[in-house]
Amino acid sequence: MMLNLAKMKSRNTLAGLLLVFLGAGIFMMARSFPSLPEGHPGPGLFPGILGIGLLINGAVLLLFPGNKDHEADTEIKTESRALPLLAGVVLIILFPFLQPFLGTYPSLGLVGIGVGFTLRLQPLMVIVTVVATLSLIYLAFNLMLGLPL
Amino acid sequence: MTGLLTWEGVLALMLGGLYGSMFGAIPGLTATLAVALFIPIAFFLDPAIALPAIIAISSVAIYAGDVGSTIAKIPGTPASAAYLEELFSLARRRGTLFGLGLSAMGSAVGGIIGTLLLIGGAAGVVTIAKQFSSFEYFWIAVLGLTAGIFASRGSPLKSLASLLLGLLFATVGVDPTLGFPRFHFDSPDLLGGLNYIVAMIGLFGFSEVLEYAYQSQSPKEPPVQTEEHGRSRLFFLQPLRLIFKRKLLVLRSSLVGVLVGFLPGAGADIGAWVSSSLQKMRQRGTNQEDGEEDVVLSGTSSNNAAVASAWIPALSLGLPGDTITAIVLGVFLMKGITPGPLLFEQQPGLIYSLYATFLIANLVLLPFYGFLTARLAARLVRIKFPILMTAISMICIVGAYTINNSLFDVWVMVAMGLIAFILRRGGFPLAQVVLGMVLGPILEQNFMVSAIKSRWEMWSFFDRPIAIALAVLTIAIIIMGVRAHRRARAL
Amino acid sequence: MSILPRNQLKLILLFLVGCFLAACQTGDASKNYPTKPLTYLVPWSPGGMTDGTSRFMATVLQEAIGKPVNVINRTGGGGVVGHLALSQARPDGYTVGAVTVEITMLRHMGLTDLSYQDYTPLALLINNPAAVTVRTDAPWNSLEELLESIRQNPGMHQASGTARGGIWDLARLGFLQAANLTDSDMPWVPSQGAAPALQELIAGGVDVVTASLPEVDGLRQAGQVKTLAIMADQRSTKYPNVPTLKELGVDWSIGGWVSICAPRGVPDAVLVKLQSAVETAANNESFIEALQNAGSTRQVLFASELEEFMARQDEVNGKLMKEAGIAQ
Repeated sequence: MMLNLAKMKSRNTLAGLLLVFLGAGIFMMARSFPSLPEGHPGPGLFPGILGIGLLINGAVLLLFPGNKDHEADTEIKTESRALPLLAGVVLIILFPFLQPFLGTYPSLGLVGIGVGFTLRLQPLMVIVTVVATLSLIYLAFNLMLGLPL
Repeated sequence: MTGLLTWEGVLALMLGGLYGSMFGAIPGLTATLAVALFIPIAFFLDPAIALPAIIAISSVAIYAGDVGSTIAKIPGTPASAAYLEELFSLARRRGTLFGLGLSAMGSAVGGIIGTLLLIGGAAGVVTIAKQFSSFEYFWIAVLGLTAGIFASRGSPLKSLASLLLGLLFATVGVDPTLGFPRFHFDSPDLLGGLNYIVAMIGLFGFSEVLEYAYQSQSPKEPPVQTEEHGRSRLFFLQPLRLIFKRKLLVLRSSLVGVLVGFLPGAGADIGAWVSSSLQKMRQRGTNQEDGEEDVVLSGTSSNNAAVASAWIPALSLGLPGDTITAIVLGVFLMKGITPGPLLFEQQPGLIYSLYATFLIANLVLLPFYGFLTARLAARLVRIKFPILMTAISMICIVGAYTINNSLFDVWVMVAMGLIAFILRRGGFPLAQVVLGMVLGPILEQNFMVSAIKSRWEMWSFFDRPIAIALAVLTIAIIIMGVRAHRRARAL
Repeated sequence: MSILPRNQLKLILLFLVGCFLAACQTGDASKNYPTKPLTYLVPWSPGGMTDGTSRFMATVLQEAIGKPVNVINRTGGGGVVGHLALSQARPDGYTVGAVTVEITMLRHMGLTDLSYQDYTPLALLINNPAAVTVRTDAPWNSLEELLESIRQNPGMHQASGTARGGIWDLARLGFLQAANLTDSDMPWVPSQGAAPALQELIAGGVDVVTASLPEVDGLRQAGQVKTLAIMADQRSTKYPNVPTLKELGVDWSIGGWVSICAPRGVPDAVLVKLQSAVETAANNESFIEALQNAGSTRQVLFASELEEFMARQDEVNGKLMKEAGIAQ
């Protein structure tokens, strides 16, 4: 369940670095926002504070990556497959490209088929699943809720 | 107003409940949208039929937000996200029917307590509501965020980081008070900001699909309990017995719900977060599995108690708090019913029938539709994981797309899924991101309004009695949270 | 794909072909318009004045045109997102949308390049005048008393109603100008909309709210607030007791209006049919009644009249925003 200390340290260091960069970047961007008349802080105030908050947060993680307080309470397994993950993302991203040409349902069907194969479903099951989901969506959105897609 | 007893009234209640359960359970659809679709019909109906339908929709929808939590860890509302982990694990451990039963019964009891508190104390709530200016709203948002920091099981520092990230997402787009565009990178879509419901679908729904694709194909969750016998016992009796045992907890959480419920837009969410976070802090350092029931109970009773309370400013002051009550107010004005303090004296019949509808919605509709949806959910969780995940990925797309009919939101959903994937690897909680996105605009706007109004005189934030009380409460939560965290660490 | 058994491969191919055919059946048909449902884009969120008016309009337009009309909310960016979506929609007559007063303001603020010229104007539906509203227990019983108080304590009274540079902020600016006062005599406290501003008003946070009458009507009827004047040319038929600014010697009128427009470039054959359906719908008895019930002030202008109206508004609002330093 729990990650070992060395791995936790490296992950927290990385997270800390990312947060410090994000915080600093946001802070710099926020400073370019205009201020209100009479020099009062304007729309940049809030993002600026958030940037500083993220920066400090990241700095603490960087300085004390091994602190027991920052244990990663996750159940990440080591065995992993990056390819299906990538395939999943690419497939969903296809939808915004397909939808204007094919319409909502056909593109949704295609994406569903792709995801089904990525998750190693049997081809027959893929079609059954996709058709069943599409009919469910049609039933719920178009017929019952009156929200045509 | 005897409309409740006519068959049209009953039909309106039944249909309202059905719509509420569907809109609540499908990610991307909300009770607000359900009521908005109902507007053209509502304005031509007798208010004695239109109002019960609206009450039924909003009461059932907020419970139905928990259905997705138990099936696939996708909460339907930001309020459900407050106790997502607990509800999901509980439903896996003791069965979907019991999990949703606890949620439905907790909601029903919370809703009833909320309504009763209103009947007895509407005048008191009105007095408080009338005092609420931007200072008080600012402090309530601070209170909700503080509760969020200590609501996670892991490190408070990381949960603060998630919260800050959520607050940051909320600043994208045109600043609603000052009209200045921020972080839009010249994209007209980003000018409109990031929708927190789309973010929720990505953070919880799509990230589960990614997680499943990434890890080995064996389901990582404990096996689903099969529940062939005693369904109604699991759904009704056992949860009710537990609620009776924990009556003080339920009462306290409902009270919190009523007190913060009239905050426009986010009352129910803050109620659920504050009360479930309080419960989690009390349990720090004890066996976590034992406490799951209590956390779910406190959150679920609190958010339904808030639903009734949201009607108070609309009825008593004529002030529409959120979209739903704005529509209610529109129905009132159109039919020549005058809202205001006198409404309670001039139209006692109407008020009593509203109270009665709230009671019926919680006593009859919620258990009825709750049981139906729970039976359905219990079937769905037994579907094999790859099939479920394929279907979920499609529903995530449709959900993200329908919320604003924008393909851009599908992009946002995917991005949020990836962000969730990264956050999980670093041990950062996800629910806090959503809380930050919901409360961010409330926090910032009310801060800016207060500051401009008081000409940047910062002491004015501590100038009003309710504001001071809320500030003190915030500090108390911080102290409690830190102590609970120390206690847990000492073990 | 060789891992798949042959018969299953066929099955998938069949499915793909099915999907494709389903996608192709939407052929072109501008001759016998309309052949399919219409989409009605609304740039503001459900439950508001624009949304309500547009939903009423959609129900009567549906009757007039003989096909379903589906309302879709595209919100965000102070209205930019929805207005942009309508201007970019295919001009085939199947997408119409609400265009609101903000179209004459957003471009002056530098938020977008969109202007009223990006649309085919169909009809103006409502134009709700701004109103000067104060708490019931406020010491002023007439506009003169309020103005006198502002003159004696410049900067002490604050007004609210919407975001900075929003329509009700413009209403305040124009009102102050017409009364020979300046921006800083009654400063603006920005708010997220009319409802939060009204909450501030009754909690004592601000003194004046300049939102439209229907928006404050709930509180007015509940006896929490009183309206001193409306910023219109004529008194409202629903609220005949409220005087106009003009009657009180302040020459200024402004309102929040909602129109129905189509994207630029709708073919003439389609436009004729669409325009006549919109005109029938806008004059529908039950539509007029619904608007009246909702407290809205009906103002009807069609096609070119609407375009002139928008051009005039664009000019006036742009000038006002420049003078106030809101415009970029």
